[in-house]
Amino acid sequence: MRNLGAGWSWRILAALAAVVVLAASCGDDDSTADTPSAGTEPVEAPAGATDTDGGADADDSMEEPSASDAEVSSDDSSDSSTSDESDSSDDASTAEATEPITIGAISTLDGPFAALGDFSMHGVKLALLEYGGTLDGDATRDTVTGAEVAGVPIELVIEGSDATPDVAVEATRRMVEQDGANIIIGPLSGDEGLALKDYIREHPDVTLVNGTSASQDLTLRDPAPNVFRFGGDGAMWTFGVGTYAYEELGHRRIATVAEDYSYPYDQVGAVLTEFCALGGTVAERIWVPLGTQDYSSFVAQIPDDVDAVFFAMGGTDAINFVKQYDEFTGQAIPLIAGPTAVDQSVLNELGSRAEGLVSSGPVVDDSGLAEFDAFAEYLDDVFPGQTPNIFNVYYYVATKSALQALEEVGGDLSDASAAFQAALAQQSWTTPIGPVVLDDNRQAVVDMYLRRVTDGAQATIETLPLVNATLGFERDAYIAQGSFSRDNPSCG
Amino acid sequence: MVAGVALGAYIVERSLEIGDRSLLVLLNGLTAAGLYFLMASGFTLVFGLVRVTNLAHGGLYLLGGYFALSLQRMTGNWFIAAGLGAVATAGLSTVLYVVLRRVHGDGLPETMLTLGAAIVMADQALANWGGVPSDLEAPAVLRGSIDLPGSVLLYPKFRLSVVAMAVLAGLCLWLLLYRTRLGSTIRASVDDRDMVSILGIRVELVFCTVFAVAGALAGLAGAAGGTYLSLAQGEDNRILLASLIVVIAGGLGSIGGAAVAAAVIGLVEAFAQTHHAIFSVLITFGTLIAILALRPHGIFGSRQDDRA
Repeated sequence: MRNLGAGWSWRILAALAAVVVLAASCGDDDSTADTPSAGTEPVEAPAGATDTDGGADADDSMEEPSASDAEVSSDDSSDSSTSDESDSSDDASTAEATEPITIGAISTLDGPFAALGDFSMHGVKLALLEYGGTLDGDATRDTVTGAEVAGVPIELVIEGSDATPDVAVEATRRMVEQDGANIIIGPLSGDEGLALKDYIREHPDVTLVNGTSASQDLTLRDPAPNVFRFGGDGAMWTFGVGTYAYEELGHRRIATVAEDYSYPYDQVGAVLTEFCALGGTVAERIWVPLGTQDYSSFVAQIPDDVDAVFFAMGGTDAINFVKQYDEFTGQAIPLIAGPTAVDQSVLNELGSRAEGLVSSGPVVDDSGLAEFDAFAEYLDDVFPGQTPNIFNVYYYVATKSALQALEEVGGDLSDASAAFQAALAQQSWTTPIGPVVLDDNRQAVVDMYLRRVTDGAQATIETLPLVNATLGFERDAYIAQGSFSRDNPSCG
Repeated sequence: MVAGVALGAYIVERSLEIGDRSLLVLLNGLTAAGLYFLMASGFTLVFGLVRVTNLAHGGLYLLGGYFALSLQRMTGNWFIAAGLGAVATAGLSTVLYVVLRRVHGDGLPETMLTLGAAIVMADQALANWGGVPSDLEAPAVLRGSIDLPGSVLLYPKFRLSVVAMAVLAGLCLWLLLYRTRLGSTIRASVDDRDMVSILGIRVELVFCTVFAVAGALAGLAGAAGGTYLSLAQGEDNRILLASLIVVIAGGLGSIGGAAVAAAVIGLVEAFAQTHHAIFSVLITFGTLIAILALRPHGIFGSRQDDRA
């Protein structure tokens, strides 16, 4: 077409630049674009509770300049405490100090995992409600006020990320350095967790209690002393599947289809470690970009002569893959699922296509544990219509573990939270999904469940008790084999 | 050069490794091309005529899909849902033009305004339909797969109908542009807006119509994509980027170019993903670069585009 305006070319440039900005705002992958509101919403922190650690320097011996512990939290806040009393922090355990402790919760409140962020915050709030809090409102960013542990008020600050590490670090920095958060609950995704580990390591007085980030190396290699994980990692969540596929299902040769980043590497790695140790082989490892919509070209690469296909994906990707795999092949070759691919949070959307899929994972609907049934009922009471899934359960367990430890030390966060972190490391209790105890790296040893999707719920095949971070293999050898990757383990 | 040879050798080697799945990959590529064409044709039409790079085009796709989703839940009929959804996005697109008219001809405000509209649409989608991905149920007649005659290949019916839909839309556009009075007015307006205006034709109405048609096509694409793929946050940007690539490769303002470029990009992408998954993005953009190197104005773009 002729006669376009002379300025057309720069207009296109401007348009392209704008698209690139939109695409870049979602990190590594354009399809995980966050909604443009990412990070722009104001933090709805209660007034007065979020004074920075500014001037109010208590006379204790903290060296960390950014120290933001209970003692430091502003004596200019309008509460009734006499600062004289709290200055004698030695007997803070007598619960006389009333400076609030701030808990910062972070999850993916924007972007492709926004729905999962909602679930996580449900878990955090449930734990705080048990300690006398009341909900400020129904929205995700509405906090909980009035909670107390050993007489110390607990403030909740909520921040969102879009599942990218840099946004997660920035949000956490705001909570720690502006809101004076003492304890961070979160984050949600694997790479976010690794980024936060590095940040938190530089702030020894702050404690990170992981949400659902499932990177192995959050705790397995080079752990940080103030990072705690009360749940499994990606490999632990996949424990038992490889053995079950080989021994019970009789598969000998499989293919894998998984998203191309660290968390699926862990899942595929765990499956193949077991499967190949028994003598199984892998015909093809297919890696798809995170956020792929059209899987037809990847389904086409699956060899015809394999016994089963293991797929490790999350959220939208799992829904798209299962749907298209079903359409193209009618599931002629059976699928075996990764833990989040068939998590309760996506089972509804997967519908009948997920029926019968075998996987391993931390949450089943028929465990029969009294704690689980009580949790499910409690969840439905407070947030009608919600059912337990990996996100609300894990964030609940993380928050509750922290609150229990706080209670044991009487809310004492002096000496860079030393007593609190020691108490946290000793936490051992029966969560809604079974008993939990931490190892020397502050990584949980927990039960997993081998499970099968039955009538739209996760039914137990077998309980796998006390799975540890090295999947029962000899620790040094397991660590020495290196982080799982595209082609590690080699499998023959 | 050396790198090129090495890459070429690698591509040949991988292709042999995967074996022959050409028909399957061909169909996959055509399906993607169909969706791209539905998006790119409206985009390029608006650009050719009104000279606006409408960055809200992806938002129209997403909202069209969500409208159809809600309508399908109400009526239970895919065709009614997709049709009404397209009507709704046509309306939205018209509203967008009415607002845009105020700054028409002023490049930067125009682009910013469409970008703002895109952001508002994305946030509205999140607020109203939430962050949980969802999809439309294919209509009963198009559900499931068929055995392609003469082969053992099983292919989903709905994907084939996306190709048919795109071909049909292309035909309708061609008929509209080359066989109707409105079409000749549109083409005349593209060539010389001022002269058409002097002849007493209300160019604004023509523009309005083009925006509505483009909106309807985007809405229809949203319903189609929402059925064989899925609807989720961020889809608007993904599809916008894809259609922008197609529009630039095809030549700005050229419907024929959009069709050819959609086919080229769709097929290249499908083959790249199957045979060289790691390099698929590189290969897709490499194709765009190659096209622009050989034909700087796109496949069917004309050199005279630069004339003021």
